[in-house]
Amino acid sequence: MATKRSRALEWLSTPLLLSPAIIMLVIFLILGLVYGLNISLVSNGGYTLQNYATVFEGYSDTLLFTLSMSAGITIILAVLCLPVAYYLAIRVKSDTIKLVALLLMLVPFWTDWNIRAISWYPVLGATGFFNIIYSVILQSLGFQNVEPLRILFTSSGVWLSWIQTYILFMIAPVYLVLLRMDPKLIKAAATLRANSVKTFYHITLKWAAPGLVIGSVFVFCMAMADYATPSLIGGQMPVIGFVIWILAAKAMAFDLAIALSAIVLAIIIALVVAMLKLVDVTRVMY
Amino acid sequence: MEKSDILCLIYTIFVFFLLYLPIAHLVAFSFNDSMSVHYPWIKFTLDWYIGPITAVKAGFINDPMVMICLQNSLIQAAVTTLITIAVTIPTALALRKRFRGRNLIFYFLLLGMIYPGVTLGISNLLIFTQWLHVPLGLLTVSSTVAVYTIPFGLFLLMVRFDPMLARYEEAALTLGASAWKVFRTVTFPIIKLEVIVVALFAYTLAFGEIMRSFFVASVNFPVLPAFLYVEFGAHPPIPKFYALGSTITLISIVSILIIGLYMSRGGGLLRRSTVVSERA
Repeated sequence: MATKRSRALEWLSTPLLLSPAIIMLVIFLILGLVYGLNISLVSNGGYTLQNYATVFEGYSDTLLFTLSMSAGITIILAVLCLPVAYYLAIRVKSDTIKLVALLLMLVPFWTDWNIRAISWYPVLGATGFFNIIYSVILQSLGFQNVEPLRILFTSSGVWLSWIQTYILFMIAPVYLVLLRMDPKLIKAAATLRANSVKTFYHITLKWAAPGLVIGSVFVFCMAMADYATPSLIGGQMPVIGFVIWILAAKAMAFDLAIALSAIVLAIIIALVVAMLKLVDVTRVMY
Repeated sequence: MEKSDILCLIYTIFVFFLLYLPIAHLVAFSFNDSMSVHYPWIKFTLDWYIGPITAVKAGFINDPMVMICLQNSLIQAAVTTLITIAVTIPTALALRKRFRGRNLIFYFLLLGMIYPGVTLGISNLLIFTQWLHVPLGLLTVSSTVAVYTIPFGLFLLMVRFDPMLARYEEAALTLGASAWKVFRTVTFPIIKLEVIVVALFAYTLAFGEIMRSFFVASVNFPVLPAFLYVEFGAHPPIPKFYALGSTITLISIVSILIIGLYMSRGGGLLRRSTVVSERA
């Protein structure tokens, strides 16, 4: 009797347990999206694509610029994270060091967005840390009257801040897939006389690939809709997120803001679908 | 140590240097006795923390607007955390089983993580004000930000589940305990540590979230990220905000340490093999 009851409970429990999350997401994500899309499709009393035509015409350059910024940070982070994830997952033996390293990468992501942005000002400014180092190096090489580098309020400044923000999203999936790689594979490759480039390409990169794909999609999508970093560090840089923000918060043109959002969302969904076709996310995550 | 190891180590140290360089500057310039946040660093002062409101260098703790926003943000983050926990625990428990559509539901729940924050903020602002006619405030911010924190909580719970947990639950159910009693006496005590980790994670994330909270906060309930964003958009930041930021960062680091202490037991994120619990 007890087993019968527990089976009945088991059968009932899954939908019941899932319902809070589903309800939450349907109300606060799907409903908002549907309502917003409806607003963006209505103008002059009827359903048209007028708003979409307007934003496509007005902001196609912005869209391209944003895509290039996001692609830039994705490539930078992939290159930056692969050796670090490899080192932490394969080479480091101590659990404590692994844990400390992963948690240390969490701290910057956790800090308030605005605070993280302004903390770069003393580093990137005209008299900032980087420029001091730069002028010291150039003067020691004999150059006089060194012009300061312009980093703050440029795309390189935004990229630096994005590294700090999104590094966790690239490193975590790569680290998790590399944890499952048998380090003996590398030894085996060496025994078979593969050089280090070949070993890297055929073994490490192959194993890291699903993690890199997941990390890249996450970073790309998050960077594409970011408005806080480009506006505070990029000097109100015209990226799509910031344009949406201005349309909604300053111009109160919610229909245009949603139409532009829908384009961003379509790109994100296309990327995520492509990612799901390429790798099995659930297998990487647990 | 091989040569490639040393190269990797240097590279890793360089990456960490890059991550912590601005944080070090944030702290350094919060103690700087100057109106500017640029080099040169002049001399040590605590004015930006505790200076009286009437002084030129007023400390952030004496700024009423900052303190109101800080208080609201602390409350908002607490409510968001409660929502996150209440939603993620049952979901993570349910997703342990394999059933049709499980992956689809899992992806759907992860959507909140990469869904554009600015879009979520705007569309929720629209349904709250134009459709549901609820006043903007604590609950509108918390429920919107929770859409973002839930996927993180869910993921953290799922990677850390004890593989023996389902067996204990089964045993208790077979002995005739009700589902709620099983949760209270078996499941919850075992996953308690994981829940604390999720709570801390969600709290910190919700506290500093700007993208979504900006649109659904209101004049009656200003939250710190939205206030700071407007402030920094209008004026160059003064060291007072560096002092505020250093304080917030310090608190983050302390909660990270707490998480670290809990995570170092067991260790689902650290070992190559599947987790074998110490409790089993």
